[in-house]
Amino acid sequence: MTNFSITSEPIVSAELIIQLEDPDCGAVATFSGIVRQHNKDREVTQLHYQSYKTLAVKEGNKILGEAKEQFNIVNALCVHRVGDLNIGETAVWVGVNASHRDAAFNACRYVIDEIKTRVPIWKKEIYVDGDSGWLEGAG
Amino acid sequence: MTENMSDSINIKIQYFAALREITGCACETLSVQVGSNPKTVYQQLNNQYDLPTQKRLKIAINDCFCSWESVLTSDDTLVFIPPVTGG
Repeated sequence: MTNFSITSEPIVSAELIIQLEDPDCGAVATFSGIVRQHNKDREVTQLHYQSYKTLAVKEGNKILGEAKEQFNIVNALCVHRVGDLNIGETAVWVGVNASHRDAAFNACRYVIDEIKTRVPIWKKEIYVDGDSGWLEGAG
Repeated sequence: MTENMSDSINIKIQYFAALREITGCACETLSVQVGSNPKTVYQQLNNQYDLPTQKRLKIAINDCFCSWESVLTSDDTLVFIPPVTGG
């Protein structure tokens, strides 16, 4: 099992957080990225996510490994959703456990920031007027 | 004929996101000159499709990030990676 995974099924954070239960850990930090109903003043009705799965899993696991090396944490997990998502659904979930909160917060932030710039996953917005487009990204 | 065939190799190209919409396909096999690299392949594809500037794209060959100058070999799978927008 790898710690970074891609799924076309809804993400249930309550099921994931169980994997981070550890009697040695006093802190669990999580981040959920949720589909919101607007972007740059345009009303969004749905998002479509597509991934280059093999490389996305490889790069995602690399990022989780970096987090474990750089921060004093015990474990880090991430699940990214693909396919069609509605407003309010979870697109990405990150969870980190550690002895103390500083390392957990910092590692969680590191993981989501790196995923957003390095992992080959793309999002297409579908707007209320029927128009749609792939987002450009930071490049 | 034999000489021409030995001068070219077949590679597979996978497309994602906006590039998949522009090309109208998820993957295709392309015959390219021996010694080709992603840069020359992109130029070749640009004759066929209205592709965006290569400046913001990254490259993967056989599921590993590579450079635009990496020399391709027969049966390689090449991916042009648009700026990512996950999360």
